[in-house]
Parts: sequence; structure tokens; C-alpha cells
Amino acid sequence: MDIEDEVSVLRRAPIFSQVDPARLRLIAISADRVRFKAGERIYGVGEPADDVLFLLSGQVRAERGLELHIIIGHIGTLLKRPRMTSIYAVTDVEALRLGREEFVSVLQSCSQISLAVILELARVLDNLVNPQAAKEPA
Amino acid sequence: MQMASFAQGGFFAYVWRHSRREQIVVLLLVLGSLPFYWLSLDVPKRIVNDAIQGKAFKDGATTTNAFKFTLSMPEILGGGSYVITDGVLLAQFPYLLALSLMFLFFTLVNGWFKYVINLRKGILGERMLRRLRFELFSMVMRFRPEDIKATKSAEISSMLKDEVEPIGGFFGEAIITPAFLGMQATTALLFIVVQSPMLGLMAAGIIAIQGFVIPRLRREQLRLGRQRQLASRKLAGRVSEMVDAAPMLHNHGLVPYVGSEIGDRLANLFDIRMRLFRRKFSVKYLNTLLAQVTPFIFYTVGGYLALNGRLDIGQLVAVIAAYRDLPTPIKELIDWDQERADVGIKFDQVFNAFSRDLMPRPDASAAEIPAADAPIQISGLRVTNARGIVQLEQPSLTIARPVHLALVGPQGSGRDILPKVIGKQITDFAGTVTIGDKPINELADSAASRSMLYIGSDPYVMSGSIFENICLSARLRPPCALGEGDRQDDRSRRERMEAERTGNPLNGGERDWTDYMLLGVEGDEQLDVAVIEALRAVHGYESVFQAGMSGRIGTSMASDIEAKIVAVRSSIREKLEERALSALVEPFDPHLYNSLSTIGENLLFGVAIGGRFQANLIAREPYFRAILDAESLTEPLTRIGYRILETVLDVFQALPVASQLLERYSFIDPSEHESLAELMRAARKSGKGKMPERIRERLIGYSLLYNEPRHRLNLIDETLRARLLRARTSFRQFLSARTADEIEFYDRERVIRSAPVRDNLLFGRMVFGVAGSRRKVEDVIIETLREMDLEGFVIRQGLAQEAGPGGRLLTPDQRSMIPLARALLVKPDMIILDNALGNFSIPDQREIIAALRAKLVGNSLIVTLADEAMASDFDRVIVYSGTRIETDRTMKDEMK
Repeated sequence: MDIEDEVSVLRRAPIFSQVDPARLRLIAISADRVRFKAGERIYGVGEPADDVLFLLSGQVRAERGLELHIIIGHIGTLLKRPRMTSIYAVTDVEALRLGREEFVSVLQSCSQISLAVILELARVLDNLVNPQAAKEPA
Repeated sequence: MQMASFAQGGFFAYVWRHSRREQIVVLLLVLGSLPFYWLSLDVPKRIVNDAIQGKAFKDGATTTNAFKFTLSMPEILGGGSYVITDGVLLAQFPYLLALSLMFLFFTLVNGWFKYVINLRKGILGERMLRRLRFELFSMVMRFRPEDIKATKSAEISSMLKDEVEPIGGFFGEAIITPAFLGMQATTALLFIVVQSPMLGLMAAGIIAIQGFVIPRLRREQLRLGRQRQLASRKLAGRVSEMVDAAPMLHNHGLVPYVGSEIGDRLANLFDIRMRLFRRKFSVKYLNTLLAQVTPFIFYTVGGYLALNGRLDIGQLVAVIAAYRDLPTPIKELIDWDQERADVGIKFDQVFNAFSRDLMPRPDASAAEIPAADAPIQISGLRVTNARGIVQLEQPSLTIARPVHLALVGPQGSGRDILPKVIGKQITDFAGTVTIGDKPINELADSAASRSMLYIGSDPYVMSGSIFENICLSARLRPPCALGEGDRQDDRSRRERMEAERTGNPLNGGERDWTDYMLLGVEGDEQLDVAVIEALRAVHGYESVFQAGMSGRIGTSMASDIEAKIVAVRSSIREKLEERALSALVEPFDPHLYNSLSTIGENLLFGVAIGGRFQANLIAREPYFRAILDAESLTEPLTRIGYRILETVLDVFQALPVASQLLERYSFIDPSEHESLAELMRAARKSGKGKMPERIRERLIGYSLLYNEPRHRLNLIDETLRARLLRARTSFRQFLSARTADEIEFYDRERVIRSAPVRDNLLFGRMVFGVAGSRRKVEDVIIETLREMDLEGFVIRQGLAQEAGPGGRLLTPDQRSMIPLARALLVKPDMIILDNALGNFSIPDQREIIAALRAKLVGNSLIVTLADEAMASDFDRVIVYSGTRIETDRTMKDEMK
């Protein structure tokens, strides 16, 4: 799988549907690809949060808390605080990993991607505040 | 306000105070040279008159007395003359010869005098310059911390370096030059007057005009010069500010804006310079003109007098010869006068720039270190900032020690101010702050630094290695002075003499200043241990270890370590296999393509040492290219380079500004982005075969840095791999023996000095992208290193890492950890952490505080914290709200 494939996977994610593919390439080009085996722990609670994952394939599960979408670990990484929950790979997982600095510079240099991330965060917040609204299709 | 003592009385007073002895010696030399100067003027006259025209041989005499010296007293002293020597009788030609030789002799003597005087003057000037620079430096070091913050360091250093330079050159001139030139001119003038009073008076008249008019015309020139000085100093300050802020300027796209400001400043400088030139050269023109008028008078009037027989030809020649020597000293005198005015102004300017409130020179009692348990007492403390806003009000507070005190409160509240007052960062306050009854600001540095160390949010890191930076705090014991102890050789003695003459320190900075006693260690090995221990406490160990792993091994290494490193490779390999981790490291194997290395690394199968095969040059290297051609790799690599460039440019086009984002494509410079796009168009157009060499080199250069798992453009297939391996073999095979030392080939039995420690230990590369692989492999490495007693080696490698100016080469973590380790190494009675941990994450902060507290049991610690949660187990917690204390709890009391 080369970065073109990665970009096309990212494009399929709903939050990136409005983002120009050339800009998604920015994520792929700045990232490392990582693999996790089924059952492996991806993040451990209390670990320092210094990277963000963009899921390419496979399923993940959080020990507690929220439903996970394509971006994982961004909240703790942005806030520079330890992981609040452990996350495990349910199946074999492939993902793109961006270090904190790369993630922040991607957000800074591409407004479309930052908007996508803001929308994602807004949805998370909305789910928290209005749990019933979340059930309705967006 | 304390005056800068050195400048009292201005430039001349300073010169006289520090160099009068030498000045007088040189003056005496000048005086001694004058008779010879006179004689060298007089002899030509005698040559022409007596020897050539034969005056000495008139009345039919065939011989005359040469070297007959009579000393004639002037009329006022009663006349009369004393015959010093009668000389020898000589015929005309020998007489001529004798006089000519005499002339030669006096010329030589004059030259020698000039040499000695110039040399002495030069040395004298340099000594004074050394003194002045050191005094200025000492003064800056005595600025109050508030003033230091408001000072532009570039301006200070440019003053210390460049602006005092002309002053220094003038020290030697200040007194000697006018004396020398004045006497020389007077001698010459006197000589002319003696020959012909009329011509003499005319020459004197013109000189008087020159001396009166020119300096007045030059005043404007001086004013412009001063203006230029100020403007260029400001330019230096602004440029250095902008260089420091360059990343921010790029970020906001402000480069054109600041560029235009610099342009304006340069235009202003240009304008001043232009006016200066106009003035300068017109004055010069006038000066030359005046100087040329005199010979004109001499030729006409003198010639007329000679024709009339009232002046003999010999005298005329001598007068003209004397006059030839006259304009130079006069001109130089005028120059000197201008320089005097100029230097005087510069001196005052420098003095003004350095005249601040200076911290008092500590007296002897100030060097007493306050007892470790002496309380800190504060009464009536009131701190206001420069705009008069009150920042802290502390009617009274006693801090009993030892204590671990947490200061809690919002940012900008009193909790940020109190530590600065105690830590002597704010010295301008009302009220008293004492430590063991001694006002803190009266403590000498030496005592204060043993009593307490303040660490703020800006870590000061100096250029040098991390190790040197940490050990800096222990450089407290002056080595024996020059010329004493084991330093009694001639050189040291000479250096000491010079240092004494110029008021410089006598110790010399190159010697080891480390105070081993204070640290309780003996020798360098224990020092290493102490530093490593401090490093662990402040959470720096891991990052320094990583730095050591990533750094090159380098050439200086004990041979036993070399053997150990080679041995460690197989142990690591075995351990990885035992734990089924061997898939995580891909070893360097001469017969296999290493997918975790770049194409270039795979081709060389080693590390380039010399310049020839360096990454940025190798694509141009004929031998290398010949190998590529032979294995038909030129085309494929060009294509790969093209694809890389295309991908990067695609991404850049989508970005608003060329950013420094793409670390892994850092070999493509974003600022070149436009010329690269051009390049790509050219490459596309030229198609196959006839691509210009310049473009091909670029593209091949990119391809060599390509690394499949990192860049993931899917550009390497099985055929390419096979070709690359073949090229690797033939590259090595046909490499001439001479160039073989340009490359360190990977060899399992040898240490690769130019490769990173990690590559050397693994003798391969770690895969990335497999979760947790790095941790697992690194655990194996560390374990093995411990077994082989090599961990210290890696740490030392990391500690030897260059910090760069201001610590620019370090990570923020490393920068913040240095002052902590520095303080912990010397363990003062109290450490004050004022937002010093901001660069660490919250859990790291917790751990560092805990580790520091464990290390400082029995000593005191003051820490500022954002919230009370972290302060829970401190001895005492003071909570600030605004400028005042909200609560003040001592935990021990509660327990009681």
C-alpha cells in the first residue's frame, strides 16, 4: 500500500469527504504507517500522549468512554495530557501515525483538515451534551 | 548612580591613568630621534654645497675636514662654540662619498627609530584595548538583572568588539603622535627658517591657514560619522533581532515587511555615507591644494632669491627637501586632531551605553555563605513593575528553612514575583529581604550561588556539549594563577605580566576550574557518575541516552570499547532471537537489500567519510555515476527522483505557504519550491535520454535518499533491488584503493565510526510501524549494554552532544533539564524553581518534583505550581491571589 492508497482510504471517511485529496496527501506524507495485531494495546491509560492515529483498516475498542472514529488520540495529544483510556486493537489494525508536532503543523497549514477535525470534535461534544440527538442520522 | 569609573575625566584622563609610563618612554624615544632627523635634513645641503659645488674646496684647497662637529650656542646663551671633533682631512670625491654614507647612516637610524616607536605604540594601544574591553565586559556583568533584560546583547557585543577597535588604535597615538609630528614639523619649519627666514615665514603662514580652516570644515564630517555609527549600531541590533525571530517572521509572512525596514536603514546608511564622502573628498581636495601652493612659492620666490644670489642653490634644495617632509606631519596632525575628536566622542558614547546602575562591588563580608537553616525574612516588600503597577505586596513573611515550599496561584500573581525577588532576579523593590540577617542583594555571587540557585522558565544553555553545560555550575575553583605553581614557564610568566598590566584576570580560562571538592568527587570518572545521577533525577537520562544512541560514534574512543561494541552485536542478535524479536531488526547483510535504509545507503553499503561521496555530492561523482550507468540504474533512479519531486510539489501546491512541514522530505527545500517546479517542467519536457545533466543530478540525488517504508511511494521492485545489489558489489570491487578511505563500509567485525551508535549496536536497522517494536528492541539493547558495561559509554556519547548556541540543537525537554541538573550537581542550600518545568508534561513534572525533593531532603526547595493538587505533600504551601497571600499553610503543624 503506498500513500496514494492511504489517501483513498482517508477519503472514504465521512469527516474527510469535503477535503481535497491533494490535502489529505499531506497527512499521508507526514505520517508513518503502523500495524497492530488483534488484541494488542494501542494506547495505555496514563501514558504520555504524543501522537495521533488515523485508522486505515481494522477495528479498535476503547476501554471506556466514547465511540472511536477515524482519528484516535487527538484530544489528549492536543491537550498534552496523559491518555485517559486504554485502546485495543480488536482485529489487525493498520493506521497512520503523526507525532504531535506533525499533527499540529498539518492543522496549521491546512484549514480544510483543521475544519474536519473541528467538526469531528464538535460531534463528540454534541454526543456528550445531547446523547439522544446522536442517535438520529446526521 | 554609580559612575562607570573608567570613564572619569574622559578619554585622555583614561589614557594617562593607565599608560603614562609607557607613553613617556615612547616620548623620550621620539625626542631622541629628533637630532638624527635634523641631521638627515642637513646632510643633503652639505652634499650639494660643499661636496658637489665644491664650496669646501674654494681658494684652491684640495682637502677639507669631514666630520668636524662644532656645537654653536644660540646668541641668547652667549654665543660661543665648542669643537667636538676636528674630523679627518679628505679630498673632494672621498669627501662626497663620506657625506653620502653619512646621509645613508642617518636615514637608517631614522628608520630604526620609526620602527621602535611604531612597535611600542602598537603594543601600547593593544594593551589599552585589552584593558578597556575587559573593563567593559566586567561592567556588563555588573548590570542589574532588570537592565540586562532590557539590553540588546548584539549592540553590546558589537560595541565591545568593533566600536572600541578604533579607540584602541588611537591609544598609542593619543599623546605620542602629536608630540612626534609636532616636533618633526617644528624641526622642519625651524630648518627652513634658519635657511631662509622669508621662505620659512611663508611656509608657516600657509600651515597656519591649513591648521585653522581644515579642522573647521571637518566638523560636519565628524557629525556625519557619529550619525553613521549610531545608525549602523541600530542596524546590527535589528538584524540580530530579526535573525532570532526568523521562524516567526516566516510564519506570518512578514519577511517582505521587515526586509523593507532593513532596506530603509541601509538606504539611510548609504545616504549618510554619501554626504560623508562628498565632504571628505572636498576637504581633501582643498588640503592638497594648499599643500601644493607652498612648493609653488618656493620654486618662484626661492628661485628668484637664488638667482639674485641671496640664497644658495644648496639651501634651496634643502629647503625644498625639508618642505617635502613638512606637509605630511602637518596633514597627519590635522588627521590626528580629527581622530581625537572622533575617538573622544566614541569613548563617551561607549561609556554612556555602559553607564547603568551597577550592582555594588561586594565587600568581604558579602562572601560569607548564610547558614543553610537561616530563615528568609521579608518585611515591607513591595514590587512594582516599570509601569508602576504593583505586582507583589508582602508586609511580612518569614520562611523558616529547611523547607520544601510550594507557591501556588494564577500566572502573573505574587507566586511569580516572590521567587524572583528571593532569587535575585528582581533587585528593584521597596522593603527588605534578608537571609540570615543579611540583605540578599548584598550577597556576593560566590556566596549567593552556594546558598541558593534560581531557575527560571528560560533555560540558559551555552554553546558546548550537554556535559559541559551541566558541569558549568561546578566551575568555581580558580586554578593556580599564571606564573605560579606548575605554571612557571616563560610563556606563562609573560602572559601573567601582560594580564597584570592590563587589569585582566590572572587565572586563564582554559584550565580546569571544576571544584571537585565541592561536588565530593575525585577525578573525572566520579564526576561522570555525579552528572549521570543528577541527570536521572531531572528526567534527562532517557533523552540523553537516546541522543547518545543517535549520535555518531566518532573517532575518539578507547580500544576496549571498540572491541566491546563489536562483541555486543552478536549478544543483541542472540537475545532478539531468544525473544522471537529478530524480525524487528533487519541486519546489514552484504548480499541483501536493506529495505529500512535509503537507496543511497544500500548502494554504498557504508558511510561516506570524505567529501567525495557525501549525500549532496555523490550524484555528481563520476565514478559513482559510471557504476550506475553500468548497471543501467541511471534511468530508474531519475524516474524515482522525479516521482519524489512530483509528490512533494503536489503537496506544497495545496499549502498556503511553503511550510517546514515535511520533515521526512527535508532534503527538498520548501523555499526552493518555485525553482523546483521549474526543474520539474524542464525534466518533463526533456523526456528520456537528453535530459540536462544538472536536472538529472538533482533527481538522482533525491532518489538516493528514498526509503520505501518511510516515503511509501511504492517505487522499489524486485528487479531494481537486484540491480542495486549488483551495483553495490561492483562499486566496492572497482573502487580504487586511494578512494577506499572515503567510505567506511559496514563490517560486522569493525566499529563504523561515522555511523550512529544505534546502527553500530544493532548492525542493522529497526523496523518501524510495528506497534511497540522500538520499545522491545531498545529494552534488549539496554539490557545487553548493561551486561557489557557499555551503558556509560552511550550516556557519555549523549552528554558529548553539542548544545549549539542557546541550546538550539537540543529538544525543549533537554534544554529545560540542563539548568535543573546543573543546580542539582552543586546542591546549594536552596533551589528555586520559577516555572522551570513548563516544558515537561504534567506527569513528568510530578516525577521531577518528587525526585528533586528526594534529593533535597534537608535542603530547601521553592517551587511555583499552577494548582494546589500538586502541592499536597509539601512542607508549606502559600497560595497567592493577585498581589497578596490568600492562604499560608504549614503542613507539619497540621500533623501535630
